[in-house]
Amino acid sequence: MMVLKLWNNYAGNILLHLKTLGGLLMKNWVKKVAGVMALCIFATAMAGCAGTKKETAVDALKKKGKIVVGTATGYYPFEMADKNGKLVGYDIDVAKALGKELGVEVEFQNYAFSGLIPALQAKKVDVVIAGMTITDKRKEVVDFSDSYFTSGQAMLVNKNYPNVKKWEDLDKPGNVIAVSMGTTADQTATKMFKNAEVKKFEGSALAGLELLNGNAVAVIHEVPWVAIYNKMHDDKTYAVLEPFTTEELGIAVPKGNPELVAEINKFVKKYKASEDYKKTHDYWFVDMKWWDMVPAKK
Amino acid sequence: MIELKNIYKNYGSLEVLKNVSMKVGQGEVVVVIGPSGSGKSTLLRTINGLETIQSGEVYVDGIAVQASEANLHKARQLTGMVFQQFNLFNHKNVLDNVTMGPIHVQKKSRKEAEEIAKNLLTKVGLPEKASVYPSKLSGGQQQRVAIARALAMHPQVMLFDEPTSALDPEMIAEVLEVMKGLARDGMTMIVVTHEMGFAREVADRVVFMDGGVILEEATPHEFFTNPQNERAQLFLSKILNH
Amino acid sequence: MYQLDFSVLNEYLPAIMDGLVMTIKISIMSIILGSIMGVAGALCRISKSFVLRSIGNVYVEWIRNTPLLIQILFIYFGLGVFFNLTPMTSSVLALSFFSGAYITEIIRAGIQSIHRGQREAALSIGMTDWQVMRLIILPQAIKRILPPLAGQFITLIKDSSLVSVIAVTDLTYVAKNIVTITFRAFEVWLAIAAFYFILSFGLSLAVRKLEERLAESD
Repeated sequence: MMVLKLWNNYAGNILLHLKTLGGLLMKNWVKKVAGVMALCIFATAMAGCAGTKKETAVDALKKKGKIVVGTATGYYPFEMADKNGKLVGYDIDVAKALGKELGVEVEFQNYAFSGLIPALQAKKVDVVIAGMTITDKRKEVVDFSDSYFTSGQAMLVNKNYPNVKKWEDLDKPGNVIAVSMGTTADQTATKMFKNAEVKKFEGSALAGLELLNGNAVAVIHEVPWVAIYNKMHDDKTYAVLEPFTTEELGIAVPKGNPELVAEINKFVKKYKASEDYKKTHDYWFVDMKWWDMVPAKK
Repeated sequence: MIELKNIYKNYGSLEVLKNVSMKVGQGEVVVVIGPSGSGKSTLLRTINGLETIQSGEVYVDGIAVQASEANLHKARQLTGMVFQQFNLFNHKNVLDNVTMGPIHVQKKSRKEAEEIAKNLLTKVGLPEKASVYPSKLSGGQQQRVAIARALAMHPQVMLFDEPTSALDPEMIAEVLEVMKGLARDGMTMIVVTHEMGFAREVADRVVFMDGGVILEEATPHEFFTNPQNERAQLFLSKILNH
Repeated sequence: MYQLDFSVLNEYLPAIMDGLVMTIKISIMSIILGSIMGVAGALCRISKSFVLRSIGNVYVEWIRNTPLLIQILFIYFGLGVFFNLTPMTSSVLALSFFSGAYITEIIRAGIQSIHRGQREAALSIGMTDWQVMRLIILPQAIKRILPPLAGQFITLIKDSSLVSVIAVTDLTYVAKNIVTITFRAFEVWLAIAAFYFILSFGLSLAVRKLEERLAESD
């Protein structure tokens, strides 16, 4: 009935448009243009077919001359924006070292953390270096390099909620735990907390903000981030830094590129044994000389 | 009944009414004529405050219209206006159009108002159209309903602003008939119009305006047979000769 | 090769339904509050008072020239520093202010599109300004306002997806969550788009019916 009514309303209109279109198609010049376009498409298709010789990801990168690295700023001190908006951090240094090893330029693309794996799947980025933990679930959809950093989850707690020693202390009804969506903190918290409510935000920065505004009692995130955020806001927060999980961070690669994974693993092994490794590690996690470069609320 | 004293109105640099004075007594029928832009509609509309004035005084039954909101409100209830574009309330049927004034302004009961309305609709010749919507009526019918609507408020004066100018020729007569009927009943009327026949037949006085000024005032007989003012003569020769 | 697997939708259907209900809830509350703001805004904008007119103008220009996302973040995280605002409250406030500005313009245009002769006739039989607005102008304006107003409602449903960034568990938030757990971006986003489509299109069909019924008195 509805359809009939709609048809009556629009049929006349549609038929008129079709007639006009038909008239157009009959015009000579339209036929010529259409012919040329068809030829172009055909040629491109042929060329495309010719070019599907198996080219490895590494070769492709070297040919491109650059590697696109997906990351998610806001995760201290792995990737952050300094006062000029430039990307800095531990992962940034690792990425640059990787680029140097492969002999290519490094281009960074920033995503929300939860968008990184989709970006990798959609081939928007070549690899992801974002303080990402190697998990079985993630391994189903992407490949990981060997671990380049060991970490664990810690708790950042609102000062109005004192005396938290273990995560069980947080798991009370009415409590809100803020996490960054899609991270292992998210998965851990969602799995572990039975009574408290877990709220997921795009990025640890917003989760932290939730805590500062008093709308969450705690943020669960990896140790380095918790340590630094606490330092930035020690008037409102305190940290329980003893990790209650162990996590290995890896570089994520799209599935089906074993040579690229092998290449990156070579790099990781070399990097971990290098002088640079200790220097970089101390700079970002121990001395924290970068502190003034990065805008922080204090 | 109506008194206009030294009315002056301008729109920016354009002077629309220049020191116009006029009196209309009870029961009088005054017809105002003149070329377009002469200010005749504007003059009419100063009487019920639809147009403001820069200086001068307007009195309706002794009430100074421009003096206060309350006065304006009273003046509007004493006057009824019929517009060139009819301006019937499109979302209401004919009966409701006529009863709205009595019910909401005069606080009469619905029953009383409908009684009044039905009588008036009969008077203007449209009793069967009570539940019809304006969009379904002809121009002439709409204007007659508009007259009934204005009459429902029991005004002392009826103001007509070119009531037939927007009508097709065959409908003009039915509206003029109603207006003549009103005049016969003794209603005080001020009519801005181009219908000379009506003026000749019914008016007590004809007022000729041009360029924001009243140039001549006379009885219909005097005016149409022997206009004194030059521009009046010019005007008459133009309209009476086609 | 990416293997399509729509079964995840089955698994998470209850969560998706909850998200859908939340989206509908927020949209309805916002359109109601937004309409009230819209009427107030419109009356301000056509008011004789300079102060009211200015308030109306500032309101409309501010909202129309800043992104909705920024407005949401401003209210929740910005104003949230001073007031205790739940995500739900913030969402409804943000969406209401937002749609209210557009509704203000819709109503104002509707009112001003009513021929001034209507107002003059009403005044000439002695009605007060308020009676004119209430009895003559607004009832007629409503017919003209309804189509664009409905369009605004439909836009609101789609815009409401932005509240997911302040962790309101609406349809989009639920979808994001499912994607991060299952990594089935294509299937999930396709399904969510379909849900928004059903909501929006369904509403526009209903509005069309309403318009037809109102047109009977023309």
